[in-house]
Amino acid sequence: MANEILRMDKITKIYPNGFTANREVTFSVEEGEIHALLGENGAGKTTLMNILFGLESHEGGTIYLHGNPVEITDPLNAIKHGIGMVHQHFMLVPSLTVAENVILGLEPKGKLGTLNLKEGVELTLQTAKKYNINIDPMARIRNVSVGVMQQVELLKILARGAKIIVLDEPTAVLTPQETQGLFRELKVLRNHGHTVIFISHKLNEVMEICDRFTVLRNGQLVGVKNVSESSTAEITNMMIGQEVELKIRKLRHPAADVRLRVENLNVTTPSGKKRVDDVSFSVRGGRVLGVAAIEGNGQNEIAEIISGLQPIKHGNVVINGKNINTTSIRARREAGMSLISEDRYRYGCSKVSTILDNLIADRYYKEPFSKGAFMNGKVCRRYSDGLIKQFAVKCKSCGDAASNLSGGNAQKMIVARELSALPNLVIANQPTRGIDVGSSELVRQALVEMTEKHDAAVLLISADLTELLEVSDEIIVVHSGKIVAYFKDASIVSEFELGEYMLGTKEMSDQELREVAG
Amino acid sequence: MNSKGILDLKIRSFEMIRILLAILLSFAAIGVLVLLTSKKPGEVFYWFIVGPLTSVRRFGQIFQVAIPFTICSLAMTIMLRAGKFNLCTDGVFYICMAFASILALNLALPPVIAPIIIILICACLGALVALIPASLHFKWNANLVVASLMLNYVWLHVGRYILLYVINDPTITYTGSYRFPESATLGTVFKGTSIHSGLYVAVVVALIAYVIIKRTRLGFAITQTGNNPNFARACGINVGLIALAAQAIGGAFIGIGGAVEVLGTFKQFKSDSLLGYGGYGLLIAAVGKNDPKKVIIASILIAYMRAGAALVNSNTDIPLELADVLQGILVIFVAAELLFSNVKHRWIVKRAKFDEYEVIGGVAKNA
Repeated sequence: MANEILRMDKITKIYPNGFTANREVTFSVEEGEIHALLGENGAGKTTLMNILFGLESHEGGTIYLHGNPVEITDPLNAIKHGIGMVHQHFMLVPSLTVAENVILGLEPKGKLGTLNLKEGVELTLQTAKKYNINIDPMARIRNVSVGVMQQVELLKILARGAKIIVLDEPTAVLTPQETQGLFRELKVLRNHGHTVIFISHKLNEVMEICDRFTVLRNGQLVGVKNVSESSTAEITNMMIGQEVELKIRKLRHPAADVRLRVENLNVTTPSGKKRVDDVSFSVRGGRVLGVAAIEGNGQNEIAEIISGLQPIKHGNVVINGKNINTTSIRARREAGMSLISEDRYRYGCSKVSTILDNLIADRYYKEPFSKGAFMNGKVCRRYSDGLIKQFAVKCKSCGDAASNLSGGNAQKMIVARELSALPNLVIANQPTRGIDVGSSELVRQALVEMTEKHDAAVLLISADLTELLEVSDEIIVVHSGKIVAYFKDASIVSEFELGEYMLGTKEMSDQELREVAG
Repeated sequence: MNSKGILDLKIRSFEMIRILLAILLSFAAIGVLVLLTSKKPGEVFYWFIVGPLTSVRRFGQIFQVAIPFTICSLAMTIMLRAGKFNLCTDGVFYICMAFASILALNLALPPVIAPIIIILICACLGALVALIPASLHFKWNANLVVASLMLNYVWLHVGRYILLYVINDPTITYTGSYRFPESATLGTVFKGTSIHSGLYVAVVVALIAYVIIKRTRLGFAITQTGNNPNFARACGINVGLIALAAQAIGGAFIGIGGAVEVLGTFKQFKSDSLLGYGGYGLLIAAVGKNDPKKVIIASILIAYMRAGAALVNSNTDIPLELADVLQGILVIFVAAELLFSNVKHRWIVKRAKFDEYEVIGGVAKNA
C-alpha cells in the first residue's frame, strides 16, 4: 500500500441549525493519487473539504497529515500545511494580471520593501514551466477565458507549495477541449508527486482521470474503491442508494405556436464593446432550444433581457405574439414567463428570507396566498410544504432561512417556484450548475415535462454539454455575442462539434443560419 | 426524553437568555465605573435599577418616555426592513412638532377631535417630509444617509423660525410658544403619573406596524425588497415603489410621534434643538433586530433605563451621562450576536446527538 498522506479520522460536523453535515466520516488519501470525492448535494463533500481547508470547525475527529495529528484553524494554516484549494467560484482579481494574482499575498520584496514585480513574473513563469502550463503572466484576468482563470488558480496554490490540491467541481464551467487540457495538467501534477482531491458530479470524468474514489451519502461514508474496479452504475448506486434512470424519457411531439421570438437583439457596453451582436431566434411551445456558449459570451445578457432584468436598447422581444420591450417583470411573469437565473443567490433566491417567502415571492399578491391587502399565512405554509415535498427540498421546516439549504437544495427550491407557476416560457440559465446527479435529473425531467404536458417553450442555457444535448430539441451556439451555429436537430450533434463552435474555431455561413429565426 | 425537551426549550429561548446575560455583563462593566467614580455606589445602583419602581409617578415616567421611543423605533424598523438607511427621523419629528404647534394654536376644534385631526395631518406631513430624501435617492441616486442627515438641519432651522417668529410667546422668560388650549392637548391617562393619552396612539401605531410588517402583502414585499432587492425585482416586485412606500409609512409614524410628544408631554413648543429620537429609534430597531415585537420590548427597556438614569442624576453624585455609557455598553453586548454563541452551539451539538440515536433506532445513552 502506498504512503497515506492525509487521513481525516471520524470527522463530525454539526451546523448551528442542528443539521449534522458529517457524521464520523473517515476519508483517507494516498500520496500521488487523484482521488475523487463523490456524493449528492448535501452529502457533506464541501463541508468535509472546508474543514480540511480550515474554513470550518469540526465537533469531533482528527486530521492526520503524514500520520501526525494536526489542527487546521484557518486557510493560511492549511496552506502552511501544504493544502491548497481551487473553489468552484474563482477567487481572482479581474483587474490584475496573471502574475499579480499568483503572487498576491506572497509578494517578492525589492530593495526598499517595494513590490518586485519582475521576480513575481519570474516565479509565475517558473511554476508554470515546471508543471507544463502554457500561460502569459502579463495578461489581465478580465481578458482571459475561464480555462485560463482555472490555470491561474492552480498556479496560485502551486506557487504556495501545496502538496495536496482540492478541486471543487473544476470542470463545471469548461468546454470539453478545456477539460482535456485540465486533465493533462492534473496528470503532470500527479507525476510530480502531488495529491489531487477531485470533487465532481460528472462520473465519466471521474472514470477517466481518478485512481480511487470515496462516496458520501447523508453526511456518512458509504465506501472507498478503486476506479478500475468499479463502474458509473455502481458509483451512482452508492451515491443515491438506488439505481437511477440516467436517460430522460422524451416524447417528440408536434411543436405548438411560437412562444418566444427575439429579433435583432444588440447589447453594447459603454466602452463600445458588443456583448450581444444582432441575435435573432425563436422558440415554439413544446420545444427546448439549447444555447451553448462559453461563460461570458453574451448568453447571460440574452437571458437577462428576455426576463426584463436588463432594459432592451436595440431589438425586439416578443412573447406569445406580444412585444414586451417595455413591459414590467411582473407583467412578463403574468404572461407566462418563468426565470431560473444563473446567479442563484443574486436573482434566484434570498438567503436571509425563509424558504416559504422564497417559494411564494412571485405570487404572494395573488389569491389564495393573500386576500385584499392581507397575507394568508396558513395557505402559504400549506402550499410551500407541498412544494418542498414535491421537489424533495431537504430542509427542517419551511420557516427556516434559505441560507440553511445546500446549493442543490436551494436550486430545487428555485425550480419548484418557477415551474409550479405553470409557465408557457421558461428561461433556464444553468439550471443544474453545481448540483448532484439526482437533483439534476429531477430538474431536467421537470423541464422536459413542462414542454410535454403544458406545451411550454424552454430556452435552456447550459455549460453542461451532455445536459444540453440530452434535453434540447434544437441548439444554437453563441460566440462573442453572435449566433455562430444552429442545429435544427440536437440529436445529431456531438459535444466535440459544439466545442469547436463555442471556441470560435468554426462558424456557420449566413445561409446555414438563416433558419434560426424560424 | 425529559432532558431533550429542556434542551429544545433552551435552544429556542437562547436569544432571550443571551440578552439577559448581555444585560448582566454590561451592568457588571458599569459597576466597575460606578465603584471608581461614586462615593455611594450602592445608592447609584438602587436608583438605577429599583428607582423607577419606587413610586407611581416614577413608574409612569417610563411609559411617557417609551411612547416616542416605540413610535420612532417602529418607523425606523419599517424603513430599514426595506433596506434603506433613511436617517430623517430627527428632522421629521422636529418639523412635525412645530407644525402640530401651529395647528394646536390656530385650529378651534372640540377636545378629542382636535388632537386626532392634528395627529393625522402630521402623519401626512411626516410621510411627505420623509419622502424628500427618499425621492432624491431614487430619482437622482443621491446618497440617502447624507441627504437625510443634511435635510434634518434644514428642518431644524425651519422649525426654529416657526418657534421664534410665528408662535413665539413674548411674555414668557424662556424661548417658547404660547401654551396650547386644553382642547388640543393629550390629557393624562392615569392620575398621579405623566402618562398622557399618547399611550393609546403608541399602542395603535404598534399594532399597525406589526400588522403591516407581518400580515400584509405590502409588508411581505417590503421584507423581500430589503432582504435581496435583486431577487425581489426578478420576482416581479416593483422594488423602487415598495421602498418609497416603506419610507412614507415610516415618515407618517414619525409625524405622529412628533405631534403626540408636543401635544402630550410639552403642551407648548419650546425645543430649539433636535430631540435625538432618530438615534434612539435606530438603536432600538437594531437591538430589536427589526422585529416589531422585539422592538416594542426594547423600547420599554431603554425607556426604563432612561428613567433610572434620570433618577440617578437627581438623587446621587453621578451625572446623566452615565446612562449613556451604560446604554452604549449594553447595545454593544446585545448587538454582538456571536457572544455566547459557543454555548448555544454546545447545546445544539447535544441536541443533534438525540436525533442521531433516534435515526439509528437505539436508546439514548444518557436517557
